[in-house]
Amino acid sequence: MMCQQCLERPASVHLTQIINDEKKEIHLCEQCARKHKELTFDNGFTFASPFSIHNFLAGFLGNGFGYHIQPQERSTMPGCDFCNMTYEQFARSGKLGCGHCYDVFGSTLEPVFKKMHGNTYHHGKLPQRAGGKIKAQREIKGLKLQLNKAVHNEEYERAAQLRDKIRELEAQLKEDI
Amino acid sequence: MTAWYVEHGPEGDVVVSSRIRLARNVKETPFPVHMSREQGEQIIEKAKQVLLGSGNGAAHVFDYFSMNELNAVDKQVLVEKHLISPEMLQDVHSRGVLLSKDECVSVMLNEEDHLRIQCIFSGMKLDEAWDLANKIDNLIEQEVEYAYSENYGYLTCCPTNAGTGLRASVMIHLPALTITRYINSLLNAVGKLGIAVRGLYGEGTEARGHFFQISNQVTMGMSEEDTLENLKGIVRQIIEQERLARRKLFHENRERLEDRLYRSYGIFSNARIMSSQEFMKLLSDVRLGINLEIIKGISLKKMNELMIATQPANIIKRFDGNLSAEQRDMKRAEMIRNTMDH
Repeated sequence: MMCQQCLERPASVHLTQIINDEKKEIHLCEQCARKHKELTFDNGFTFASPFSIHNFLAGFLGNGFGYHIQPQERSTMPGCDFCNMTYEQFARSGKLGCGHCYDVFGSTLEPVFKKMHGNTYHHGKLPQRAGGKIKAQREIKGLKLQLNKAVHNEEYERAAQLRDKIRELEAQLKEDI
Repeated sequence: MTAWYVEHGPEGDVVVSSRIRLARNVKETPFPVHMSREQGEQIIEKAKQVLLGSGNGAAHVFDYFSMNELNAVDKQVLVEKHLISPEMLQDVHSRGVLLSKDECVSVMLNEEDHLRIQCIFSGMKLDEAWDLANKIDNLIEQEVEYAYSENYGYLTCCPTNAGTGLRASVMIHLPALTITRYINSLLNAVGKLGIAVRGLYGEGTEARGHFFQISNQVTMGMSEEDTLENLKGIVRQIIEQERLARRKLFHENRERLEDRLYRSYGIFSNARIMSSQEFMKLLSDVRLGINLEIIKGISLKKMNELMIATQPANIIKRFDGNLSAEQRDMKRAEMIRNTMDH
């Protein structure tokens, strides 16, 4: 097995970390292990640094890697054109560089949101500026759910009302744009 | 309004303060770690324009402080008062804080996010703090377009804050739950409800003097109101548990408890040299004594004041001198004696 950090030397340090019942394994060569900040070297190897949310998050992202992306492909993952953040930088720090990063790294962020917040969709405050449009879009989404339910329950009169309301809102949205 | 540490608010026997923090970023500008000095200065100018202008509508008068221009003591004083985060002390360009004169509102500029709007009140006042933070957020938004996405809400540097960008936290004093060792099972249970418990000065700090900070973890998928209701519900239960434990301690171990609290009271009121660590330990006992009416004639409000006034940088600032640690420990003891005498 090769070292996950440098991908050059054989791994001789094997660590297991369990976060939220999820097992994460790290395999490193001795040189990389020594550089690994989380390690201390008294009485063998232990995770000794105090818990930090960013390490924790980087752990989540690291997990995502293991399942979906081969380590060799990391450097070829697309980065953010706006702030020049690379995927590797993002995965290491657990932090984003700008608002556009959310679009660029969105697919890897969603599992993180799911684990951290139990949700991948904002349900809170809308900014007043962009608010009007988003509010209408949210309302349409809600109405569509109701419409499906109405059709499912064979409440066709109600379904027709909902359909008209959705059309009306969608027309308004188009006018605004 | 008065600063949180010179007051004694609702549920003040257990809850010391309530704080709301909103993380916001400006659209089409890289987050502070990645931005240029020029972009940083633009953010500061915008924020100053909104909050320093007369009739800003917030009914709070603000001052601006640039982190580069404040001296080390003044900066540390703000950290000790919980008005800026320790992170702000790091030497990074274009950082500043807009601080309301009554010290209830601080808007940190270019910390981890472009804007961190914070409101802090004495006692259990989460709703009031949220109302004010929300109002200031709306004011700023009139001038600034925020980084926001329909799916992910307010976009923040750390994805743990994305969504509402809201961190609501309550500083709480739990001596009886700690003495009776109920605290561990309580903390375990709370951890499973999307609530974090930390020491006094944030992540990684120990719970000195039995003071804890309890805050929400989840910022996505839950509205601000639901987040506050959830936290308030949990805090209410913790308050009840603490009060119950205090009564239980008092009725079942009266002599032992009285002995401990009077001893602490004696040292607290008479010592000539006191470290801040010893201070926090004794303060916890004295507060408990006041709440159980074992120690009389001194108010919790005075204790809140002392807790901040005797922090190292606050002592240096007050006595306007370069005091050594030992000299500070003597000043601290003197300040306590003066407070307890009156």
